[in-house]
Amino acid sequence: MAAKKPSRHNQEKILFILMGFIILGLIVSGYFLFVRKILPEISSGKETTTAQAAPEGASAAINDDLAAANELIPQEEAQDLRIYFGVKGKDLLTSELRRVRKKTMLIAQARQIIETLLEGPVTGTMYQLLPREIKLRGLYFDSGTFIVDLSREFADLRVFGPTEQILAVYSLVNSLTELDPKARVKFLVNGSEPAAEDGHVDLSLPLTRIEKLIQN
Amino acid sequence: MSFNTIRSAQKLSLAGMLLFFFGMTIIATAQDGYISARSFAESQGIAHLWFPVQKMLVMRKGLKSVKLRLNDPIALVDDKEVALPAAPRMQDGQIMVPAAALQRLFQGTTNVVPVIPPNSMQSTTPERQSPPAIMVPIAQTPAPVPTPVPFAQPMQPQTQQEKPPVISVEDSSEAVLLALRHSSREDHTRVVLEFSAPVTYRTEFKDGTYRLTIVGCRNLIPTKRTNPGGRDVNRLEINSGADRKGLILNFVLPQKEKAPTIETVATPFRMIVSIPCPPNLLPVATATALIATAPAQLTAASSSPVVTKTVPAVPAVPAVAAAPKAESAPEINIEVVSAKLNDESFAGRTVVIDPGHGGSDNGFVFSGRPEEKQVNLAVARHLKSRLEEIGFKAVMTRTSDVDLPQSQRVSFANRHGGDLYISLHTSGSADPLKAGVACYYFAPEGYFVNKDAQGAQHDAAFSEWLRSTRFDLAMFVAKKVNERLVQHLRVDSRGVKALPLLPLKFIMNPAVMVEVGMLSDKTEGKNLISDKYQQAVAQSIANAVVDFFNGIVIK
Repeated sequence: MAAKKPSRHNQEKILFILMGFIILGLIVSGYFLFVRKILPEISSGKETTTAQAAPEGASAAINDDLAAANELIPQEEAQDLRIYFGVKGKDLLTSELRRVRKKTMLIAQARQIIETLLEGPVTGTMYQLLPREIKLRGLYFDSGTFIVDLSREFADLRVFGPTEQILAVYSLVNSLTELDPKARVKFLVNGSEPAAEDGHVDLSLPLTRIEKLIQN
Repeated sequence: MSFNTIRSAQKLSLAGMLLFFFGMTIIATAQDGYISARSFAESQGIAHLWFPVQKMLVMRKGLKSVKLRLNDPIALVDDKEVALPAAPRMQDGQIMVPAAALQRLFQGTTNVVPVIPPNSMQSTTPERQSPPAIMVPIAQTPAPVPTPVPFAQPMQPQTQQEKPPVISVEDSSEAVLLALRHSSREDHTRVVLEFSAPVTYRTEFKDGTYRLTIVGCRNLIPTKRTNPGGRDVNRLEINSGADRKGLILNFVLPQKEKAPTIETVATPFRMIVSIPCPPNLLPVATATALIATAPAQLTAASSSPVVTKTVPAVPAVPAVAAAPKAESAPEINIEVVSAKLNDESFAGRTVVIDPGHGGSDNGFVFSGRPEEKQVNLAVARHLKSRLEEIGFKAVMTRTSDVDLPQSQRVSFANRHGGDLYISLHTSGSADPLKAGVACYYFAPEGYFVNKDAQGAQHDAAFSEWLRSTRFDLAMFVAKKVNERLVQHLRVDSRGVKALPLLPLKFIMNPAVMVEVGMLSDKTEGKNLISDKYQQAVAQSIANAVVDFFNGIVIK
């Protein structure tokens, strides 16, 4: 006796259930992909804030903070950024390693660098060159040049002396060019190209990395 | 230098009429009526091509073609030779041509007249026009119309047979406003308008608005202009005149009592508008009083006996009421022995001194202490007198508290030539540990330069400047200045460094920037406001200049 052939109605029912499972799977995987991967890339979140290797002289409190912050980011999702700050008492720059959440897009990494730079150093022997009031208005990458659009406070750096302005500008240039040492950095102030009429650095030109400003 | 090209049209509604107000880039040297050929061409829609090997600029509009050669006063207009009043020249990487002549070449209104010897042309030039003291309606007493002025540039001597036609500038209806700049003085603001040819004007002062109507010029406004808005002027509006000819400048003033005055100077035609300060804001005391309140006593010891002289210091201002929290300058007694030139043939060499910042740019400001611009100026004045005592010729880029853009400083330094350029600065830092002096010379590291650039591009001019400038001499001066400052003032040295500093860029002579101290430092900052300390700084730098010339061996 031949087995009873399932009716057409039942076949369709099974197919619908299967399709439902497939769609549900896609929605769930899409959600996790968006939350875990895409959202961190596009957000300019503040989930950074850690320095990895605290040099000598850093206080115990800072070390505790670092250890606590390191635990917040799992090792596989972390990335170290080299950010340049001023050395106290010297006209030089020195780097601080900051552990942040890993980003794959270049522009997202550059944004992380500038935001971390504007937060200031964690290490006690360093000081912040760029005022905290500076806001990052926009950031683009075009033909090997980072175009950094900063708020008006950036133009006020010229009131400091020649060295201070050079160090401040090149702390940003050197930090950004850690991503690509051959890249150039072009500044905009409030969306406009600065004139080469005042200040101590010609901000109207693309700037490149200066190694000799970095403390050995 | 960067080329600025603006092709913007802005509609303004005035009495039911639409007036168009459009700007173009006119980068011109204010002194001789030159205009950037490239900027002019771009703003007027003229095709242009630069041939670097032939040093020729070809400009085309419609069927008209104009060929200009560098340093050649003969232009080829549709293959016919036409003599320009002055030869095109290269300046700051740009081709500069006589403004009015270029305009006439393309307007087809060229008047061909016989060549007039330069002397006879100069003789008709009025030296200085007497200004109308107050507002005068044009119908009653028209403003002075100076005789048309040719360009100051001397013409090439030519024989009578070979004389090509000359571009006449007699028609003043097409003068161009070459420059619009301003400077802030203690009791007034000065706005300078510079035209390529004479113009006529009339003034009107009503309800705090000073209207200056200029006739006989095109309605082109240079984009390189300053905004005099501030204490004496609320705002400046520039509109086109009727039928898109001429200019109307409205100065909206904070006071209605005192009318501005106008002074006119010929060659080139220049109008100087002096806008008085509102009476209630007249400065009673300035922070300059902190720098020097009396003629300074300086002990300038030469190699033999000690001579005490009275040196004119910064002009004294009676009261210090404006700065209640001002710190007092400490008593400082530093005697700096004046160095002596080994080779007297170096006496008379020119040193250009550039006091950093000025005018609206205060430089570093530390609460209770004079602004950086004032300290720089005071040290520069002392340095000038010290150098002149030694036997050098010293010139300063600014002698008062005025705004001075970097391009003008460069232009001043390169025009005066000289053997040294010293840019004086003080400094400040967020780091309280930083103190001491530092000296800098230029290094190109840190700028991206396209080495393949050619012609009038910035990068080409920059590369050429790097090749032709003696940075080794600049380093030598910087070392000497640093040594002398540390030796005489007993301060910390922050080193001699090569940095890509804008104030030293495009200076053709050996140029150094001296950071004479940190205004933010507890001790050094106080010392810097002392007149005697400033004199000691100046003497140390002057000694370093002597060291520099003593170190030169002429083979």
